Amino acid sequence: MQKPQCTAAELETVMERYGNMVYRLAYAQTRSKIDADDLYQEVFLRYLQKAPRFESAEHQRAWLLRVTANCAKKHHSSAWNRHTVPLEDKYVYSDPEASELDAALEALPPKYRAVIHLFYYEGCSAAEMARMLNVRESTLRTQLTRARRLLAQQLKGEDYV
Amino acid sequence: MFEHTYRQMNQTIVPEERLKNEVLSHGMPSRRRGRPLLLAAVLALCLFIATPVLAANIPAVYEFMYLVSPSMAQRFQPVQERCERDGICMEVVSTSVHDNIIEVYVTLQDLTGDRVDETTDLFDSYSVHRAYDCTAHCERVGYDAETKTATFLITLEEWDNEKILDSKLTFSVGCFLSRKTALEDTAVPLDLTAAGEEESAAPETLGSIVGHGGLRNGTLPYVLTPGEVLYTPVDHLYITGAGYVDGRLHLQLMTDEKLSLDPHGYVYLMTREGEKLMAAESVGFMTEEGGRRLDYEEFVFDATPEQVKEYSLYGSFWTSGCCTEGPWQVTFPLKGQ
Repeated sequence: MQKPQCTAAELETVMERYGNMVYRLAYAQTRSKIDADDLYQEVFLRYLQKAPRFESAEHQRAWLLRVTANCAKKHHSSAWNRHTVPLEDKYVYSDPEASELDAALEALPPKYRAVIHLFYYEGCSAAEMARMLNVRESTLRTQLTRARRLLAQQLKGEDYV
Repeated sequence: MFEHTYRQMNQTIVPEERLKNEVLSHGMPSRRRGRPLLLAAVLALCLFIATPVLAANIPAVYEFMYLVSPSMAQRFQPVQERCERDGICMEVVSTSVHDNIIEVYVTLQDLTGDRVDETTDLFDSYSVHRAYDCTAHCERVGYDAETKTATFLITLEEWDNEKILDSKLTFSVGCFLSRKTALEDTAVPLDLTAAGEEESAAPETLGSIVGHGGLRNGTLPYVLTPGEVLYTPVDHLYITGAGYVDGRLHLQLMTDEKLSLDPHGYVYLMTREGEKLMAAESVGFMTEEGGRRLDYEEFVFDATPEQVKEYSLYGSFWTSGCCTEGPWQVTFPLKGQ
């Protein structure tokens, strides 16, 4: 069987189209610019190596989100990474509301941050997220509920979450 | 409202051009860790100079900075703003503002005990409040054992490359870890040849999944049912399982202080000739027992009992001995140059 190949031009097109999406999910989960940089590279190098073919742009987007989420989980659980990343880069916001929300997100477990990001920013449905994150849909709904509750607590009872 | 704020926040989070270019050139660059040459000089001097050059007093810090780079020292302006709480003093020593970069030297000193040491870092426990959006970066650049003072360099880069005008900055630290212990590449005295097929379960039935790595076919492997502590390599980190599941070797680590002291580690197999066999898969899950959080990480090796006879068990383990709660906070003016 012929080994799949992806040209630099194809990769550049995919990065142009989905690069921000991948980077934002990576940052949402790791809360570290350095880690997000690493995950961004890992995801697109996997894309390059695997050269996946998709039926539609929606499938391509879902693949990239799923790989990013999985890479972030692996990254987070890796003792090696925890040991070798002693520094941290983070985004700091001048807007008090953004700053407060940023601190609340920081306090959430990474899996909840992923769910919040996919739901509120990427507009994914519970079923889509469950497939991406490899959990049951009921589990995903529970995670989303807990994530919202924790965020609301962090934001001192704000009821808009 | 939440959604709107969150969307706005994300608009500014984008990969840098250099990162895109590095991926396109198929390279895996090393991680950015500040300015390596200057940092190397700082660390080399810390080792070389016998006197405590990074003490929390202004003349010594400036003396040190002049030794490293006179032009750099000239750029910094003294601040000397302090915050003391529970015998811990955080002091903003000096700042430098140039173009869209702000650099701040901060010292952390224990006035009453030894909670600040050469392993203290601020990792994810500091925060910066600015009137403008920016990226923050913090690194420990020195430690003086005599005065029990750790020195940190905080670098802020404002977005849009706007030149920084006069303003102010608030730096705060919520807590910090110290007395860290590292036991790296050490032999673990467990006889793996005595291990047999053990009771196992789907990890999601034991607790919440907190992470995994290297999964085959995207499915989580069964894990050992947690048992008695077999070995304790460092405080609060335990080996709670060693056995076979479906013919593959599983080793299970557990910690009961993950959130406060960050104990963590990993295990691997090694032959007498030094050939290593790393885990093929790993699963992390968390349970609660009597209100106590227990975090497990299970390592799965592609090794049968026959193959394991050729190997011994090794591991690297880390933990902290002290978590000191703050907060400490200092607000100080910035002067643009």
